[in-house]
Amino acid sequence: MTEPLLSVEDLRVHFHTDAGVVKAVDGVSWSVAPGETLGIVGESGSGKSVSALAVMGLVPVPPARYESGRILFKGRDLIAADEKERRAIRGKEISMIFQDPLTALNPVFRVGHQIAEVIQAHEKIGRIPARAKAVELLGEVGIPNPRQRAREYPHQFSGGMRQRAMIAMALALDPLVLLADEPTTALDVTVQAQIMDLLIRLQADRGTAIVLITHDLGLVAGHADRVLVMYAGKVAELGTIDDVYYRPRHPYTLGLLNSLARMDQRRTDRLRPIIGQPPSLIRVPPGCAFHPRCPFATDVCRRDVPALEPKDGPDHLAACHHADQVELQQSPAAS
Amino acid sequence: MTEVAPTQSPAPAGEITLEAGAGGFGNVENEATVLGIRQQTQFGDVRRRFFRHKLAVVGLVMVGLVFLAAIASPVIATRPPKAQDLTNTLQEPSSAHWFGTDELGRDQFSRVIYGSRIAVTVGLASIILALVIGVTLGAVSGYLGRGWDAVIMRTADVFFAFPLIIGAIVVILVMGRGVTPVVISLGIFSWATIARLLRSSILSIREAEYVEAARSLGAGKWRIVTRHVLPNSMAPVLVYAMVSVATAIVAEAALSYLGAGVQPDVPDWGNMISAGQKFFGFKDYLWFFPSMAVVFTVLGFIFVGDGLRDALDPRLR
Amino acid sequence: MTALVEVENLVKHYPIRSGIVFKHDVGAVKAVDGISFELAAGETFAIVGESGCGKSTTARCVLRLIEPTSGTVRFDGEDITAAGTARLRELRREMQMIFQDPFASLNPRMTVRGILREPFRIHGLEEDGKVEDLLEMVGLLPEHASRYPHEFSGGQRQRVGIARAIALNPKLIVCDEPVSALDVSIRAQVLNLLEDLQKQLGLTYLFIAHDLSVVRHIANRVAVMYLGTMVETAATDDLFERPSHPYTQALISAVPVPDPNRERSRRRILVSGDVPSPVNPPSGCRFRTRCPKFANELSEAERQRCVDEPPALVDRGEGHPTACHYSEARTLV
Repeated sequence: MTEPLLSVEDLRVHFHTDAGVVKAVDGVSWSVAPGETLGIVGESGSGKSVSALAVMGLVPVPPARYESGRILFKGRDLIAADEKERRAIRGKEISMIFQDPLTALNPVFRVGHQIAEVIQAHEKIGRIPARAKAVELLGEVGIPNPRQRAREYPHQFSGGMRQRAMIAMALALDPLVLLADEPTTALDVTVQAQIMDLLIRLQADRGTAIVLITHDLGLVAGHADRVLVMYAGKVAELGTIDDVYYRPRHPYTLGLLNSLARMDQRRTDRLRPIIGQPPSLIRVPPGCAFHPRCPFATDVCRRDVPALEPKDGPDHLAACHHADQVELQQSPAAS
Repeated sequence: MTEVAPTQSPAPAGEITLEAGAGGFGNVENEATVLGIRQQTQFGDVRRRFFRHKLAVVGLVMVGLVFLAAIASPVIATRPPKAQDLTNTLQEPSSAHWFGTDELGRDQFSRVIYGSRIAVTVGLASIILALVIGVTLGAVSGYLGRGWDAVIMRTADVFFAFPLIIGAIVVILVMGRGVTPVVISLGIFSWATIARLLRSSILSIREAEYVEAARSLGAGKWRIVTRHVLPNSMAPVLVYAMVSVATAIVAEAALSYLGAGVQPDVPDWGNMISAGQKFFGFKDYLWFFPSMAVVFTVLGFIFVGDGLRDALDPRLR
Repeated sequence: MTALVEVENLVKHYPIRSGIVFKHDVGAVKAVDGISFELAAGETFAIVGESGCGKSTTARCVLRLIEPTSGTVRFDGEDITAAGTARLRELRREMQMIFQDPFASLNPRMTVRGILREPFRIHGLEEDGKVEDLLEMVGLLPEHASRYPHEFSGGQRQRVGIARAIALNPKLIVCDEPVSALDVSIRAQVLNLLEDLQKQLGLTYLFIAHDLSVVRHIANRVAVMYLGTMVETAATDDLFERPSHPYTQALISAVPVPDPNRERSRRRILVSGDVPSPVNPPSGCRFRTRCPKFANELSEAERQRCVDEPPALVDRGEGHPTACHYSEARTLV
């Protein structure tokens, strides 16, 4: 594996609310190398998006507080860096796309104008060449008639086209890292395939590192190199997609894989759900947060928070007291 | 090999609840705490948010004091409000007459206290009247739509275009002075906004999935309106009505001040301000105390309305 | 197999009106444009398709929550499009709906008890103890009855919605994306519950979904819709193993599966562009503007047929009906 480009180390982001402290990210570490795709999967409320938002400086402080951790980009800590340095990196070297492109695009400005503005904000370039570059980018992300479409407003674009426009904007400055937060969740599946295809081609051309945040285990299996599984603000498991899908070492990962309906197989039996509900981040169960739903749970799980430790090899980490038992399980993906 | 999920084969019917019961929903209280689920009722929730709003609580106390004054006027007032004492006219405020006396020697404190009766009566009654008209017409307009909607909304526009005071004066010119004409005139010039608010609220609520669910159960129009649509669209209307009470009280005082309100001998804040006006500059206590009473009451209702809005606003949930 | 529901040539057009005083129709959104299907008693029939294909409109027309523009819907042999208000009300006991969004489908100002009593009240039925029974059937506790919807998680709310749908012991339940708003780990719980209830109560499901994985798991038969028309219908395994319409093929190939090796070896059939407007759908075959087969494989003469002649939904030798002049079964998963 090449040297990481962006790494998050022991990040803790807690939100202080009236109802209590929401430990949205509680000791999370990950890294991504040039040209690599890291998948971050988790259910709603698992805190899967928060570390990426923290990278972009989009976590509102307060109510949030950085309790610990570093965000290293090319060796510089973004949390400790001054505002000017951070601004130079965010948006230019690291950019982000979101689930809902409408929130990222300003409805009152033409799409081409908005992309040109992003370019002008970071580069010494005139208005006319910036516009020309915007049109070029729109063409590159597969928008037909880019010259004409650049003069239209976001509401005149379909959902898929908006997402393409947002990708064009995110790529305008040739970032080294692209954070994609549920980029296709709002889209239909055929459009999702188009967008993912686009992201892969752009990645191959430019060597961009992608962090793909999603709840869709299929999307990660198809498009990521490594995957981070989050549960209740913590990392449950981290490894290559083959390790995690075929040799899961955390019961939550295994439970997720077991509970999925599969489109590619004849139905054999009832689904095997994970019992219970994901916890609220305000009241995470003591010990291992997954223990109330875990079939392997013992007293030690109710008492001690399991450390994220290497299993099998140095690059496959799992936070489970009984990881060796999980290994015995047949993973359904290994068919 | 241990199984991950407790149920792995088609379970007989009885086992369904077992599966969910044992794991998912077994220990309700415990689970609710784990989930951080609030355990209050909806009303409790609203109440909790209302009482967290400091200004709302202050407002509630203020309104409470006004109501107390209105209900217990004979107890609180030191003298009958209409009792004249020509030996003690135009007395400055003193321990005998807290707010002084007017040119007929009537105790101003007692008159301010009794004045709260008119204020509260007119304020509440006129808004209740406006609510009855506005909610009925707004509901018809919003739920039945079509021709009804057009007719009602254009009528509302006409009422809307009339300034409240001018409209009320016209009605009172026809009906004569008195509490009832004031209530009616304020009521019929306040319903338009209520009807509009409710209509727009209903237009969004009637598209809600739970309304569709009720329709799919076979619920009739009446049931859907009264059980599903109205309870969910009333919040903005109630907030507006609360603030409107304040507006109505000001309007009533203004009407009386202009000589178009209740009869001049009735102890009423507008009448008192009007009467005190001719002593402006040397007997200022005559208009000052009733004015303060108006301000106090109006602010109270506005604070309560504010708190109510925040407490009912589902976006904060 | 006896048909519980027969839908024939169902059409729903929403007129587009223009003008302020003198309103006149300037066109129509052709949400559903002539579809037919049958539901056998006790089966799960799924309609899949992407947003705007007309699947939800179809579901609502079947329940007559939306008045169809034309066509008939027969329930137990009776044409419900002709039923009057009173008869329709009676029929509502027989057919129910489970909604997509468990946060929007429960009245926030009613307790769970109020919500579950309502079906009985509406139809003037005895309700003693019924609420508790229903809660138990869907895996909730009697204590939950006094709570309000906002006190529950998404999965629990969906259980309340299911309890309301089964309250009157209906024969048909239309499930409109019943699990798509739920988290992965909760989805399986709710799908299992739906299956158990089907077995226990002998329910027939019309299952509307965009998630093909869920459909493959739960449905007996599947129909694929595109832009208001039905393009292919088959028994579930047949559809997934031998998809024959280019749209079905694109749809299946676009769904990622949670299996890295399989993903690496899969072929994606990408369709170009966006779904055309249902106001002015393309002539002939509606899919031709995005069809990879039309674009890459057909000759000019063959294409002309796609432009001129709307393909009928018939079996062209693949063992199940497809609406494509040049349908051809492929293996994709």
